[in-house]
Amino acid sequence: MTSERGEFRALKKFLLFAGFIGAMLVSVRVGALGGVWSFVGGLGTVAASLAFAYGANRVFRREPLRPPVRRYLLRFGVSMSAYVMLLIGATMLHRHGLTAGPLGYVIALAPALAILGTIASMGFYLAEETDEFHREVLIQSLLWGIALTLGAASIWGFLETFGKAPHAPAWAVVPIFAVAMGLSQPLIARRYC
Amino acid sequence: MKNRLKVLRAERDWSQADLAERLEVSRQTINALETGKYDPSLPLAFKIARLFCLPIETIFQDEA
Repeated sequence: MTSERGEFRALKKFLLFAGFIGAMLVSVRVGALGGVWSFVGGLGTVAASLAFAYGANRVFRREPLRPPVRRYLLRFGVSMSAYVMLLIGATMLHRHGLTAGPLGYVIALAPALAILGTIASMGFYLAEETDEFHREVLIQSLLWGIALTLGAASIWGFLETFGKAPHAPAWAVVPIFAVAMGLSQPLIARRYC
Repeated sequence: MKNRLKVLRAERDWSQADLAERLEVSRQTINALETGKYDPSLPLAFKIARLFCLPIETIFQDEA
């Protein structure tokens, strides 16, 4: 009975990770179609991340969403959606040659402002999380996120310098960090089970 | 650090969620404490001791 329940839980965990990776891949493919589909795909990646976070809370923490987590996901979801929309919008305007002159600065900085919002949402969550174990897991996952992002950026940077990889924009680090941090959270919590 | 939380909780017929609610922490915190892989902060350890009306050292055993 217990092992059956354990197996069922393991299956749910596997499906959660597989579903997240699948949804991200589909979103990226949809986004690559261009035009309006870029926005659909972009928002799909945000929706997949939020669904993964909600599912991870259910499957790994096995408790309802606590208020600090709910506030974090809401803030993160809003700022990340704004980021995706502004990033795609700004890129489109740039492609059409509409970013010349001083207005170009505003268009270029609009997605950056939204991404500052996502960074702030993580800071707010750290400040508002009252549960000491969740704080511990959060801090460790932030460190893992930093380590994986710095590692990935360094590897890519060197490959790029030696002409072995195409140019990657520096703003890619925050979404990479968010995904690395998000994925590492349930894996870190597992160590205490 | 080893502890008797699981036994003390079972004696009172409380679920992990019940104990979590009484200590104002998450259920996962209780789970992590019971496995002995996570040590509570000093304020939480005192809170646990007060709840069970026991001295801290009878709940937590230092393995050193």
